[in-house]
Amino acid sequence: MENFSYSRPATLKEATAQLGKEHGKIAIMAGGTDIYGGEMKDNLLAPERLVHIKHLKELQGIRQGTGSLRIGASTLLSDIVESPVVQKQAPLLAMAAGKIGTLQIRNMGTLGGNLCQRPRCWYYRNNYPCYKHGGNACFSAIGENDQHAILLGGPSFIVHPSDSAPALVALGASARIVSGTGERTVPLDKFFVTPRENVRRENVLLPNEILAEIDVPNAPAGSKAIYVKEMVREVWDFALCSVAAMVTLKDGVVQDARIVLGGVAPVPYRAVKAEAALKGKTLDEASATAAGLAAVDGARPLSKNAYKIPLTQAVVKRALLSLA
Amino acid sequence: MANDDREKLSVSRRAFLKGGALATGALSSTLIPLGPAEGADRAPEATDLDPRRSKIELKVNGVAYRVDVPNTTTLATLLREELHLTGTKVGCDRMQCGACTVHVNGRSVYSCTVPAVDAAGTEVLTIEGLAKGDTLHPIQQAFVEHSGFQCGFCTSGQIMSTKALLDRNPQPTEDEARQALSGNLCRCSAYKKILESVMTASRLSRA
Amino acid sequence: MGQQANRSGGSLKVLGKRLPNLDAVERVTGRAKYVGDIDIPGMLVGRALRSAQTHARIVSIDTSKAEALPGVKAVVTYKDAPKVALWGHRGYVLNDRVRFRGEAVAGVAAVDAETAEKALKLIAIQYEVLPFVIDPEEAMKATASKLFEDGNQEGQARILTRGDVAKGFTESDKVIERMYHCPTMWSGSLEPRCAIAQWDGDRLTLWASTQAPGRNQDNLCALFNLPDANVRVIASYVGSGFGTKSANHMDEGLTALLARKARRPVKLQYSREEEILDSNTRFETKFYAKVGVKKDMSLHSLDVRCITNLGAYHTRLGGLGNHCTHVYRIPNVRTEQYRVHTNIPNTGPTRGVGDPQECFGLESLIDEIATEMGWEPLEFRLKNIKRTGDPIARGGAGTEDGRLVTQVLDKCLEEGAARIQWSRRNATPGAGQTGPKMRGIGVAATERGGGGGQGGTTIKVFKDGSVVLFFASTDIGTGTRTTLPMIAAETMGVPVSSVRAVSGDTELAPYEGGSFGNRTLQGTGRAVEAASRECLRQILAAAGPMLNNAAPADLEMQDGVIRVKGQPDRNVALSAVMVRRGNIVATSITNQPQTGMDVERTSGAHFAEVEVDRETGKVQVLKYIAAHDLGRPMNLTIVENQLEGGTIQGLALTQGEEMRFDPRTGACLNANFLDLKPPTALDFDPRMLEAIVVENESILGPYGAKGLGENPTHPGMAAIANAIFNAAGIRLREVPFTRADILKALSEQQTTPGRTA
Repeated sequence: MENFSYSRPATLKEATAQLGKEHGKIAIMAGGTDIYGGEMKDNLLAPERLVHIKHLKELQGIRQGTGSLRIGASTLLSDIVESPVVQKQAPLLAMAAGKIGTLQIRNMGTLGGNLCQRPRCWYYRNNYPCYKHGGNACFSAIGENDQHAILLGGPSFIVHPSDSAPALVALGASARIVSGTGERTVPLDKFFVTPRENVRRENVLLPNEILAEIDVPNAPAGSKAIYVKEMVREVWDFALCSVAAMVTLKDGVVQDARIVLGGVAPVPYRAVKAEAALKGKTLDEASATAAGLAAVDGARPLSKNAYKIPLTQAVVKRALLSLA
Repeated sequence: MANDDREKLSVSRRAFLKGGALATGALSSTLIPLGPAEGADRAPEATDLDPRRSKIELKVNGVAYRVDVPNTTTLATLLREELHLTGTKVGCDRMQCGACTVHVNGRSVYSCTVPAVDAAGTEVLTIEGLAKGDTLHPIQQAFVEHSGFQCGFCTSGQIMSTKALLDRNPQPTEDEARQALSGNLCRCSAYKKILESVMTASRLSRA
Repeated sequence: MGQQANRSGGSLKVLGKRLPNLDAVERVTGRAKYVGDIDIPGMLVGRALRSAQTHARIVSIDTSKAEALPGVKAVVTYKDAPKVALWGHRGYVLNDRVRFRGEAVAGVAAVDAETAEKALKLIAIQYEVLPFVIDPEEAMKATASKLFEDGNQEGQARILTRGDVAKGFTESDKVIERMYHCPTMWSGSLEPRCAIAQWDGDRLTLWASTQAPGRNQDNLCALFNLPDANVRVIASYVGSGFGTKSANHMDEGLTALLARKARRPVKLQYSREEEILDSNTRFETKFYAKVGVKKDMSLHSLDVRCITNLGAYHTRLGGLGNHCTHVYRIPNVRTEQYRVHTNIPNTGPTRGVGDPQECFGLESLIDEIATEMGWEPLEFRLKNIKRTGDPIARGGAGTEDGRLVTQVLDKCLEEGAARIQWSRRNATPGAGQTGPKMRGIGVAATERGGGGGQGGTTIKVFKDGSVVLFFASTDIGTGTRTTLPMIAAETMGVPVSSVRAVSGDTELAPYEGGSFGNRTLQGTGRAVEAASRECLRQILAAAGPMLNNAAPADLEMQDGVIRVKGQPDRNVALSAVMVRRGNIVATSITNQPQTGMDVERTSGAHFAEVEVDRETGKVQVLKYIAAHDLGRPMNLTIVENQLEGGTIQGLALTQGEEMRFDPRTGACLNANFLDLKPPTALDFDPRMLEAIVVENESILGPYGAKGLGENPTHPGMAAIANAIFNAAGIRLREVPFTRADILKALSEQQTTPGRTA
């Protein structure tokens, strides 16, 4: 790892004042599990200066908003998992956050960091000169791609690795983003960008911006939700495919459904066709199976990841049935 | 494959091996044990002459220290190379094995990936902080009794995770114990004896 | 387990009990010093420069800038490396050619890590890039890029013949042919390799994380042309090895080379990635097999061609051990083994060496032919396995010139079957189950030598009666620092708490190669028993005058008290004898006992019950029985720990651990734990795993013990594959068993018309 200068600003304002105009030279670190433990140690990134925002009081804690929870981006994942308020008002987030890494990782990592982590693609992590590194190839397309995208892939075929992201997208969360010149609020489903929108990055954050807070609307009354994650190992693994599913039922009939997939697309993938297929239906084997099929409608597998299609179908179906 | 592809691949910018080796950083710092009485709750300060080094105060096993280290230094390296507390092991340096598990402010973390600057102002507990003189901690007794290890390289981490569990949940079920230790690899796969050790540790700790 | 009779009819006081490891306190307090924990004043930091080429010739190498960097004390390249091949390798410490991506091409020693790493970047190398080959069958072709002047094949094909397989197949009622593939798999330890070298004139001390201090000593003597007496290798605490630390490796030599040039001690600590790429890994095997049976349920002919991918440099081992020749009675057997070099990282001995791969092939094949014939696979095995008294080859040839003794594979199969309730398995694979989750039960048998060979030890009894046991082999987690003192305590009649073991030091103990291949408990254990008897003889002789000149033959020692037999009141404490006697030292070097025609092996059988999820492709192991022969258990806790851990390591190969190489660059893409996926505490629920110690007694080992380190790792892949077949009717012939493989096999099964399971 290249050495760097380190700053621990006292306020968010002080932090944003230190940021630069391009990614890389000045880097933001919260828990550091990805940027420090991954990118810097693996020599993917060698910032001259690290701005450490984990300790900023303004970015910490879970607060009640109006009909929502406001979670500071530097809140530790383990605090979210264990928070009675989150468990009550956004249980889907608590479930998903509980599937991240291991207890030690959740004791180190933050919610903002989990949303902003970089891809796990082997070629990216091995520093192949791929699109993500400013090159002009996606090596997975012609190489090892069993973990890659079946949906929305191209020109890069990475998958988004976050577990909290599908849950937050399903909950309709939004991100408060702060820079030296002001702030903006972006719905989380607009926060993440596909490779076609920006092949180098996975979200809309500009180099001078900090993800400050996530606003998580309370789960709708009468809704039920579940996060299911399929991995090679039982734990300490990224998703082969995951689903955050939330349904609002009335007399067994689906009023509203949110189905967001992880591990199968470069962004948390909102399976709108599956949601539509459920609306007005009784939640049962037939409708859940149909939703599973609809969820992967349009999937285009690469040479080694076709298994993700039946896997995703099954996971969506089972997640939904568990809510019936 | 096409020639142009090969061209791209051969100009990999990568310095091939990802990290350096396990121990990073030129330490050669001034180590000042401050004694148990003095507190350590301050943020790191940049060293006057070199912005790439920091002065850090922290408490380890109840003893306060002030060190001056390069910013690349991990907590694990600080413990092992500065404070000579080598009971904390580094098996992967990437949060992927758990041998380096210690407690920071009462939470279990992978010290290989905690920047030392992040540990400034904290209280750290390592394997060396468990036994009271020659009297083993009940968790250590349980691991001895059940041979909850083979080669022992992961053991410090397993024990620190067990402590993190029992601190919060003194009477865990077997499933809770397995969950709590699932962030610690045992390559010898002594998992059955480790599980027995954790359950006995729970009993001994409450006795 | 109660007290057992030993061979002389007495009862055992220490052996067979559950005792905590004698060095447990050091291991649970963090006080145990592994090599990486050792600090020597003035010690430099060593680093290796690793090549990003997969196959290339070094045209020029310029180290001048690195050498000029302040703080750099030594830089070495192939020009500094002795032209002596490492034991079991074709390579030198550093080579003028890169044969795999990640191979070390230079070493640096500097005052600190930052300087050493900076220096690595200042070394300029010009390469002539060569085409590379990573598939062993491609590498065998005449047109393939050659790693060595004499080609890619290591030696001649090894061919072993018994009977006439061609005739055997014509005589058979059914013949099938299959191929089973095990890829290159990571098999290393949690402690990455580490070595410290310190020179004192022409004497070298090397602390290393090694299983084999003796082999390392041999190798360093050869490299530096030194007498054995000048090289000392010390390996006290070793963070496991699983074979990967049993062969010599370039890092020990490189560390010594750097320390010699720098004239200061040097520590070279591998990173995790280095340990994965440049250690010894489990080799890839392609196991092409043809088997013929007769209607009377007898195995009649077996023809196996095995291609082993040795990687860059490894020379010694191959993918076939003795499963094909030693497990079953088969009149006609031919095995043909090709060992091929390719541009992937070095392979080497790993737990079970080629046995897990061979077991996967043979035991899957046995299941497949049984299925073809409609035979019950356990019954088929029991009908054909070799039992005590059956002919078996004594040496490496095919001719069965010996007689098998103390074989209890039948009991392993029977006791394991009873425990898993074998009758619950599906009579027709996959049939009769509703819902997406299908359950099934499978079995696999295994065997191996029980260890042994030459062993040596020195035992010192001090003037207060305390005892130190020195041996040059190592305790790599196998518990020999506990079981060997237990043998000494049993033999001498002293409390086990008074015996301490000092292991892994070539200077203090007689020469031994190291700890590998099931060998230490039998090999070193025999020497410990013999040296303990000699100590006891001297103690009793010294005690006689203190007990009214009692004849030594009338004396015995128990719990450190020497008594006249039958007159317990006439006694004297060992400490009192030793105060008068001064200290006693006995050294013993023992060879493998001569057994004439008798051949002793050690066997085991594993039974797996799995659940296959038809929709997600997930396989869950519900119940797993590992029944093993290990002679007489010396310490049941250690025995169980070895059986349970070894079994999970075998199961791990069904889940992950495959090293994946980019076909376009030859680079290993997943050289980290996250992507290799070794099992966590949640992956194979240890509560579903049950180890059975089948009652037996060895004719070779001390107190009837057999070695057991390797065997539990062998049958996992086959047992799971056979259970998956019984559950779902799909046959997996390649590990690991991925979701992709399972879902594909299930979908092909559904679309294959007329298929019967």
